[in-house]
Amino acid sequence: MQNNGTRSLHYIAGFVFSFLFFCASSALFNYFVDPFGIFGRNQVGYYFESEREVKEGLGRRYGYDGLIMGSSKVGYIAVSKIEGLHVLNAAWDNAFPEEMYYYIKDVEPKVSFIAIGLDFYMFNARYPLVEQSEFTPTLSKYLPYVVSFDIFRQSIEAIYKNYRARKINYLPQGEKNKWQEMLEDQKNSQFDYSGIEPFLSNNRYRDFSFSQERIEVLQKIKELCEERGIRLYFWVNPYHARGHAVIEKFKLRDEWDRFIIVLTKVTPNLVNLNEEQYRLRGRESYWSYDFIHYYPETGKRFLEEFVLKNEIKEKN
Amino acid sequence: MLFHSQEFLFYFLPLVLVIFYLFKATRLDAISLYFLITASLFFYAYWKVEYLLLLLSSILINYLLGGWLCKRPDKKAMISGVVFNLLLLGYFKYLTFSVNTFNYLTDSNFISPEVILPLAISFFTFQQIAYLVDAYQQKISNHNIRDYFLFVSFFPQLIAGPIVHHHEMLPQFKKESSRKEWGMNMAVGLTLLSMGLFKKAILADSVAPYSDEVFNMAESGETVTMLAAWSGLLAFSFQIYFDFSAYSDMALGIARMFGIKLPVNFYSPYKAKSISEFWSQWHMTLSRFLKEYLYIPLGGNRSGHLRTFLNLFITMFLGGLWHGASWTFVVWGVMHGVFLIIFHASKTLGLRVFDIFPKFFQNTLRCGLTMFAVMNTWVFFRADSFSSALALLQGMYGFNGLVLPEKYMLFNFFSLLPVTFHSVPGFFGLKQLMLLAALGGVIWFMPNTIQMIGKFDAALEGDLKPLKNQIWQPKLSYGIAMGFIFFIGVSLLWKVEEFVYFQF
Repeated sequence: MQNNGTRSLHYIAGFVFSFLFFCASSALFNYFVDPFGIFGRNQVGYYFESEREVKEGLGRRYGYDGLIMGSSKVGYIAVSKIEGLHVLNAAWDNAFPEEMYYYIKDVEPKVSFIAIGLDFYMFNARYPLVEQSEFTPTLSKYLPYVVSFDIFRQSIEAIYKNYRARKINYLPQGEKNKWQEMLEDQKNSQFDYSGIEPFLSNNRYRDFSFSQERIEVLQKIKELCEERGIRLYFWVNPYHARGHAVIEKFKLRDEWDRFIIVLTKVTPNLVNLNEEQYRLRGRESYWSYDFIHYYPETGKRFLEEFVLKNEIKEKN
Repeated sequence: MLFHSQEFLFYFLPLVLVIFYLFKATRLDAISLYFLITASLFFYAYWKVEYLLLLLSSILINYLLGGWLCKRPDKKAMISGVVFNLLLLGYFKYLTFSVNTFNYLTDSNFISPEVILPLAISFFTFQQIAYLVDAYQQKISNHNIRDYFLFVSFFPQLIAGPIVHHHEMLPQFKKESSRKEWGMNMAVGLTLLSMGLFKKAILADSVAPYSDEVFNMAESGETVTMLAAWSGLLAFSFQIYFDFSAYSDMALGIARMFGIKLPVNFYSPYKAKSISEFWSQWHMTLSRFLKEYLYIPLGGNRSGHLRTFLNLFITMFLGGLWHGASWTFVVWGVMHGVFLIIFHASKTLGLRVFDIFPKFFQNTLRCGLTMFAVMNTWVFFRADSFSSALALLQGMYGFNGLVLPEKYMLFNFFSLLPVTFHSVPGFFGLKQLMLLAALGGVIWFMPNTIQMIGKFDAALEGDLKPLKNQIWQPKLSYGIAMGFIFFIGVSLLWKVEEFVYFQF
């Protein structure tokens, strides 16, 4: 019969062995499946809604000519269809300028240009500044990625979804996989405004006051890009006429005008796609249930024609 | 540094353990204690190096005062020491709160300086007040600077307790442990650490989003319906339970790895059958401090019922304020005070409402009633403001109607009730209910960690209510199982939230 002293040493040995065994198994599995593409080994596709993680992985691992950033509107842009440029769509839902700054600073994407699509809501001071720690760059270190129960679970899920041929959420260049939905949406001839107006009134534009701090963040992004020799473009995402009607309804036209004026001061080369010459009015360019998100193709057209003309010319 | 952070678990703790035991192995026991003090100060400074000076000054001044009181038990000196500690706490913790309250009451507009609350100030202040009082009462036999520094700064208990007594700690610093004890200490310590990490990462944080959602809704002025309010509140009740239980386990485990046993701080409080029992099982060392250094000096129960009730009220009022510089915490404390008064009054009057039921139901009803009372107090503990607490209470007690998700229309039973059916924001359906049921099962039907460790003594007092059969054993198979549990905890710790009690 062993005494407690010897048994406790066996206990410790068992503990250490078991812990290391499970860590190593999880690490190997996550490394080979690589659900967020951190190691460039992902073969199964990107299935997860965790945009910030997916975009971080893509930005960190691969080289591109450039990347585009912004909110979900930018996330829809079909960068894979842009001819002559290899562009990463590094946009995510509800993005704020400070998050883009953290991304550029920490992920250090290997690009020669960055184009950022801005939105009015991003400058609503009601939304507090996102702290660096809240941006959760969890994938910036390999250890938390490979020794992670969550990633392990997602690796299994990704394999399963791939096996069942489920729709992937993001295409390899980071754009949202919305092609199927777009074809279905195009069958509707009318807009349905019922959902989007309450969303804007309860969230985006409620208690709007202009955030000067975020303008300063744009300045920081500019300086960072200059430091790294990256060409920087800013544009303001186009709203459908109906979107502008909502801005009028909330009596925010003055704030909107101020937003454009201040932005133009920071970035004289700003392209405001809400100006008359760019504006699209037809149903064919926007989702039927949503007049602020344009179709992947529409976004790509805007980007090519009005923002990236130089880059395309330069590359060709 | 947080117990569940990568820096702590993978760098700080292993390194400190290795160096500590290297000193021990080479018979440099005294140096090992100095090293432990240095490591503890580094642990504290890692958060904000500026406040290290505050901690050091506080320890040094109290050490000198303690020495004075050991030699000359002067009441004035003791009171000055207590006042000094309270002023320090008052400045850092309550200045902004006091100025804001004053501004509110007098409609004035004084601006208070921006003060960052130093980590652990509430804990190390109380611990040192107790030391000064005990020094005055000549209860301290060996007052020396090394042991005093370690007693206050010992990192496993520095940040969020347990609030330890000098007589519990100082003798242990002197004790030499054998190789056999080393193995057992590590085995028990690793088990407690793993269990704590698992509770935090899997149990506490899994329900946090549900409670956050409902409390955020209440804070932003959205209507919270009955089902969402109760399910969100239950989620918070479970979250704080597992959060504090996890922290307590980890503190005990980490200290144990250094051969030090800490006192029990958490012992299945939701199994309590009265509010008084709840306070003898929840944050037990704080309850002990409040009892010994506030309630008893106020007169305790020695001067008649009314005075006892007043003393209880004052104690809980201040206990609430200790938790946070906000009136919501005060209301939380006051509610507990009132419940304690009701409990003691009913005991005094000999009211035995539950005695008509069979024994099993009596206990279940008592436990249920205690839980109900405690849950109501959590509303004020968790809410960011009075308005959100009241908004939640409004939802809980049906002022916003009883609304159920549409899919529940299928059950005919509900159509008999005054219920409306539409979407219920803040309520996440069967997934949430199943999770809450599972956690409830763990709380009410499983033994706690101290009972599991049983005769191998997880804490200083051993096990308070031992089970018939020993569950945990220091065996290979248990080591393998616990290593897996530790892996699960570690693999989730990258996104784990801060411990609730760290803010105090």
